[in-house]
Amino acid sequence: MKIQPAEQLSLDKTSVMIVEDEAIIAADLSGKLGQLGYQVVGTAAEGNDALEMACRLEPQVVLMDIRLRGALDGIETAEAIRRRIDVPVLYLTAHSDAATLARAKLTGPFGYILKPFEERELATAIEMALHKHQSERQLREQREMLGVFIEHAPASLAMFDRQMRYLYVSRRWRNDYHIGERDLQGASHYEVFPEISEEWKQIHRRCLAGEVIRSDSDRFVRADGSVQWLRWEVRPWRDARGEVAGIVVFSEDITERKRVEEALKEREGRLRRAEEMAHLGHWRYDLATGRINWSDEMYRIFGFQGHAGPAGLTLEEITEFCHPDDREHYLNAFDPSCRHDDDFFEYRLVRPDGEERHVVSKGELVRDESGAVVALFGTLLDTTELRRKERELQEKNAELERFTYMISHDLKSPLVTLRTFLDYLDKDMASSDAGRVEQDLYFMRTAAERMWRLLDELLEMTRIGRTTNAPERIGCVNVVEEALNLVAGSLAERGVEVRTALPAITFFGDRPRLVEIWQNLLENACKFMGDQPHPHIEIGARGLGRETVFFVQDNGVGIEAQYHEKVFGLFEKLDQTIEGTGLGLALVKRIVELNGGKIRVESQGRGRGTCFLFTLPGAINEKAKGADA
Amino acid sequence: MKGEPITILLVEDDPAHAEIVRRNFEDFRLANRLMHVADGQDALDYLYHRAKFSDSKQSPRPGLILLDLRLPRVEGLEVLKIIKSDPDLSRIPVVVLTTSAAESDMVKAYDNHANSYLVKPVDLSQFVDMMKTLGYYWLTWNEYPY
Repeated sequence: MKIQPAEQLSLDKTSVMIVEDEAIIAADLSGKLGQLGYQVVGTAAEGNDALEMACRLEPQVVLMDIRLRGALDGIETAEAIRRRIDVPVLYLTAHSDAATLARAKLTGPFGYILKPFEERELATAIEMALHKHQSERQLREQREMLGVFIEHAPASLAMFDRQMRYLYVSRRWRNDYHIGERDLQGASHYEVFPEISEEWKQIHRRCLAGEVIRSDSDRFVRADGSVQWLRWEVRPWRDARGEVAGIVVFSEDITERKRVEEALKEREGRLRRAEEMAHLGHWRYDLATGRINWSDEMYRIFGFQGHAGPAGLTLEEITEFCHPDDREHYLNAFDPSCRHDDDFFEYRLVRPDGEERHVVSKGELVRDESGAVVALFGTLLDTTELRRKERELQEKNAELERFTYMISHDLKSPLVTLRTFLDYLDKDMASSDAGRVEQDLYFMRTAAERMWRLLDELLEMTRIGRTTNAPERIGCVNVVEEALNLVAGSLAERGVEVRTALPAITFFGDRPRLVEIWQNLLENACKFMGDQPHPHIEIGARGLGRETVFFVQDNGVGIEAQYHEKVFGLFEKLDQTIEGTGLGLALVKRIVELNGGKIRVESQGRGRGTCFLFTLPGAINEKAKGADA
Repeated sequence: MKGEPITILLVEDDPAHAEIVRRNFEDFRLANRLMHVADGQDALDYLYHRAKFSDSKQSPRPGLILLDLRLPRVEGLEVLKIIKSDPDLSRIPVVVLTTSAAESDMVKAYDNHANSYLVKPVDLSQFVDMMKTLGYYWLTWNEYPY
């Protein structure tokens, strides 16, 4: 056994070890290798020596004579070396009988060199062995890497061959499918999972035929009844020739994500509904991008057509909606420097269709981790309805105030008359002034009558809306007939000619109240006939259904334009010479309004007649229609 | 009192109340100076010699106006406002004479430069007293810058 001295070793030359029991051949070989530029690190003549030397020197190539004297022949020695270290072994042989070659083949040799050999053959064989060895090592490393990669992939992943035998499988796959540590090498998927459905086998077959199949969320009901959501993908993998060599199955359990998504969707839905019900939207103004994102309700409140999407809107775009008079105040709401978190901003919006809405916006600063202001977040409440209700309430309050004021005044007034003339009566009776006594009594009687009538009508007024009679079906014509009968005396007295032309409308409502409308309007018309020599009243209707406009037209004294609103006011009397309390038309207005209708007066002015027009949609309803059929 | 006897314009819609005032002035022998109109519109027509008052001899300029607040057609406050914003009429003393003791009415009346605000008493003797005092004060002692 010869070992090259260490100082002669060169690191850039390929190190070669020779195992040859014939010294002459070994020396010749060593010389040739030296000439070829290889470094012969040692020569062994016997198997066990060779094994020991190879382990110690770790040469890059071993040249091995098949026939060796001693306990081990070349093939056995090569096998022993290969088990210990990773080194390519080239066989040297003079003859090659089939049996020997077959045995040598099993040891995975990197080549054969037949004796006697040329230098060139020797070099070619060594270089090829080195190259093959390098490639094999790389391949091994790559397989190792792939194995580790798949094994630890954070997903359920398995690779199969054409027979659906496992090639690689990830730990997650083992866990998800409860395979445990069982060795899957070479095991068929269908043996591991005999219960696998035909549906899945079909998918596997299609992918083996070249298809890629995936599902983003697939619902599985497990054996225990619980629901599992999976995202999966099956795709073929191909060999070097491009043929499908098997499939890769990827799957991910997204049950938790799905549950979170559903919960989020549910919550979003609730928030949206809550915002819709409360007319309360929310917004976020990003200071970096200068864009504003709105909740759905914001779009509704603004009457904004379409949706800006996640990109949001610019301040300029939404400023368009702000009422011009409120713009400055409104822009303050978006200025982070001039806002305090307790502040709220009230302004008006003008929707694209021109409708005006009142809103209250409240916002707060949004800061990042370093405390810098990055956005404004706020809410916006549509207060239009609230304001309308508030205004209605104010109006009602004002009416109530007027009402109590009028009562105190209008009831006190005849009382002053009564008491004062009672005192006069005393005096006048004492002085036996018959003329004055009669006058005193007249004023007292008038005052008492006035008080009585006032109280009576006040009572009637308060009853409307408070007490109602059971609604009944009655023809419009019958209602007017009833009213005409009630005022027949007044009509006859003044010689008024009445013409009626009414459609076949049926009301469903409070009959006595409906009659009161026409009764009061007719009485009013009689009272204000003035000196008209041919007084007449026309009762009719125009339009259809709920839109029907009823009218009572006279040719009496008429009403000047400035009084058209005033006539319906409580206790309003335009002409003091006419008997009455000033409640009649207020009463009519109230009944009309209770029926969802409106009333107005038309007159060309004094002496040119009056026309009262009103609607009664509340009394012309589905139930009334039913009666027509 | 100097020169021409003063005309008093009573604006009162209630004929009974007008009669009470008339009887009081009759007792002072001043009834012939009392002109009565029954609503706000007539009051303005009288003051501006319009419509049925176009003959200014029949509607002499009053030296004192007794004005009720609750009036048909044109409200008493409106009449007051018009009188007090017209430089030709603003110096005529206007005494509000009403049944209303409502604070809001008084405030509005004084805000519109009413010269006095009187609430009609429910008792005759008080009414007579008030009329008497009113007569003395406004027709005897008060000086007018004609």
